[in-house]
Amino acid sequence: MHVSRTRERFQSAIPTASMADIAFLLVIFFMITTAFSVDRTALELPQTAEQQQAPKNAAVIVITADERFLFSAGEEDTRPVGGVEELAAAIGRVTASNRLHPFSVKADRTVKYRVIDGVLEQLRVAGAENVTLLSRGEQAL
Amino acid sequence: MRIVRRRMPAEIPTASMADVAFLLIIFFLVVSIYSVTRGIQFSLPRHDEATLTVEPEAAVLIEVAETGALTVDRKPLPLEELTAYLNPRLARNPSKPVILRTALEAPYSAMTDVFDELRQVGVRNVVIPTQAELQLYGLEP
Repeated sequence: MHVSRTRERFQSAIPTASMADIAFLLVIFFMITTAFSVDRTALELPQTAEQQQAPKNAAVIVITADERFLFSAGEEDTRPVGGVEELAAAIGRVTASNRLHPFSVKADRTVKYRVIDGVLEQLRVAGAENVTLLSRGEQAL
Repeated sequence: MRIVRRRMPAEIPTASMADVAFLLIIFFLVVSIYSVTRGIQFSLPRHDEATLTVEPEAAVLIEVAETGALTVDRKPLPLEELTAYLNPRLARNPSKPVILRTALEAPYSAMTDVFDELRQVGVRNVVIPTQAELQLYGLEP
């Protein structure tokens, strides 16, 4: 039959030219929506129902459950700091260049309030005004 | 001589383009998962401003004990009843200040639980004095 002959001549091909367009569209989407996290310390954050978005490029102060401190001025990854005095110096450097620079405090929920109080005191002394206590949303359960 | 060049079909190989793009997608997907950028915001008092200018009588004083138990204006009050206690006071004065004092040995989450509750009720003026501030103003009993 003639029909079968024509079928053999038909070349099968999947059009993949638009695949790259779709992929780049997704790339751009993720690039825009991604907030690069400067800290990846695993902590159990306190839970709150009320939440606001922390400002971008906020300096991050991390307090782990065993009361170690990590600090980032907002651009680079967090690095460990020796103690409250060293942390105070790091906070001072940030506020010296910009008093309104936002700060985020990422602390484990089991940390004693004494430690938080010490950090808040250093922030107050350094003149920081905008502080966010990072928390886990209750809807995230 | 015959020119062979003309016969060569001009084509840009785009097959690998999608691979590159998908690699970038996976990168952004992985990076974006870990970022924690939400929490409860508050403003520390301005450096040049006299802190704790609020008359203690005019403000609501909330004390969080080591166990997480609350004392509101020197009277014990469960966290669930805090909303009912604050609502009539806020209705009279929407900018009514609330002083939140936490025992130093209390866990951080005990403080954030109360702070969260205050934000939900709509308290705009939350004051979190640090230990050093309390000593400075002679408010530490």
